[in-house]
Amino acid sequence: MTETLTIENLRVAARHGDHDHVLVDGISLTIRRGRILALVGSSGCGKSMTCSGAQGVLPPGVRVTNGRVLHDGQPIAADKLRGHVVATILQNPRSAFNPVRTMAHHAKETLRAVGKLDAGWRNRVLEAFATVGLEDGETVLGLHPFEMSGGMLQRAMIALALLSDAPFLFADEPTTDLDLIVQARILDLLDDLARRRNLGVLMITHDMGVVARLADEVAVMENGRIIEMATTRNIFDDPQRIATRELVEAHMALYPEVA
Amino acid sequence: MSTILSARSVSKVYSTFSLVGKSAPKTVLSDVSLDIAAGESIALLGRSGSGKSTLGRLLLGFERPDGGTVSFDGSDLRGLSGEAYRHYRRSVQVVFQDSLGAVNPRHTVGRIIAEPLRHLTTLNPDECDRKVRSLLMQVGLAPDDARKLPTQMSGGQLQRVCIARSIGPSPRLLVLDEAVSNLDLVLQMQMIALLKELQSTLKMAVLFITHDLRLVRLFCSRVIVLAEGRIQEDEPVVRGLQLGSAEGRLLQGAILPARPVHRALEPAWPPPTASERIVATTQAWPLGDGFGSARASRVVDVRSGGIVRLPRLP
Repeated sequence: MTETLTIENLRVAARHGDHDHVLVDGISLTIRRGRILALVGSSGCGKSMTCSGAQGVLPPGVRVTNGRVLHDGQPIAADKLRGHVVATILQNPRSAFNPVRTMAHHAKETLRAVGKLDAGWRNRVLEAFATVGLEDGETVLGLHPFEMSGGMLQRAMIALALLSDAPFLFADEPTTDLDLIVQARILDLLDDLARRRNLGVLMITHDMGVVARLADEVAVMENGRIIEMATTRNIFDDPQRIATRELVEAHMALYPEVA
Repeated sequence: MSTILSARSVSKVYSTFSLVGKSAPKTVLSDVSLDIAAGESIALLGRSGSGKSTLGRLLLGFERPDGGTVSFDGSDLRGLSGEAYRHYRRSVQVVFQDSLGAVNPRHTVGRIIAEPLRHLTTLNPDECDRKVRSLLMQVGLAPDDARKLPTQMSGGQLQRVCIARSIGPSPRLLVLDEAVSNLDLVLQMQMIALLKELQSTLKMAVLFITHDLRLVRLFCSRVIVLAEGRIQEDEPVVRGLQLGSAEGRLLQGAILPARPVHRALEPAWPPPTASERIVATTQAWPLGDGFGSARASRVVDVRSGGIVRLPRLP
């Protein structure tokens, strides 16, 4: 049996005065190891809220009002999930790091959080840096975020995510702030890591190019709900819903020579 | 065609200052020359740090070049003052990437759009109001949106407000600095359609600063590739455009696939047969030879039961 992570019937709401404003409703997803599942939809449809809600890291005033997460069929609490079962990489690497701390400090903090900070930490971090293509890891350990480019920071964030050895990875728009050349390299890296480490990946994106590049399956969201789920090929070839068709058409319009 | 703006071997050097003193100067642009003619749509293409935004800022007069000159209608920007300067300001407008950062969050949309009209045109308050309403309609918003605050609008709507503000003074050149990069793909395509339509009705030139070659092909007739502060190539955009410079080829190679790339859904390798030599591991790949992996026909990650990789020996 493939190890799975299931989000079941997730509902996320913001409190507005005396009533709930529902942001995400009835989301059910299964992420399997070795597969990349893309969660797509236009801005504000609830993709990131789904990701944060499943991990119990919602912004103040927003909470999960229903649903649970199952790891291999067993319910799992959010604090047991984060860092242990699911590692996360975020969209904006520049705001994800503490600007006054070095990479060594961040790496140790990550390892401490998952109870893996021991004498061998340095070598493990250097190995993770090498895995994500950060050359000269010793130097990188001493760098502050402002001394690194966006691409380097995103690689460092992926390296930190790998340190936990979590079997699942949530990637929330991991390449949206990067230029196309860096984006292509980071996507190659994620694809390669997902294969080599047999990671189950939930990839949140609005770019169907990213989906075409590496997703196996696609879930399409609109107004807080999943409206369509299919293999990547079927989403491109035979979209069933209007919102899905719009996403695919907007994407294909970028490729006049293919369409 | 008449030239609106021209840059003649401009260069720009930045130094940063911190508590420990001045850092080594960093050259962001060197010896860049560029003419923008009326009605042209030019893409300035380059990766992060290539100097494309700095070139935009020099053309907009936000910063002065350290070497070379930027001239508007044939006169050096440094010599412009009074009405000549106001004429330049009206004629060259800009839309930035971060729409929320480009507006005052306490001002209404109407006041935001009216600001350049108040400073750069002679319209009286009534005419200004009418102009704001017609500009809102021109960018696909409702006239009543003038009463809203920026935080009451979505990212795509607010970028339309910024576009309305920029075309208010009837510019001859519009600089779009990654103006669609913060939007999702569906909104990007809507925005490109709007900009194309405005460009043809208003007959203005456009300088489209971007890192996305896919958008260039949709919107521009000429592409300039910038890398390390220098122009690498300057080409007309034709069907089946192939960039020739090393940087251009890199940018072209980085375009994401249009159609799904085949990625095997099932593990690439079938279950073991009796004759195979399997190495089971709980280690992260790659395994050193000490694990016997070099002699294995298959390496299995027993933590998941999934097959990691098969380095079959010749």
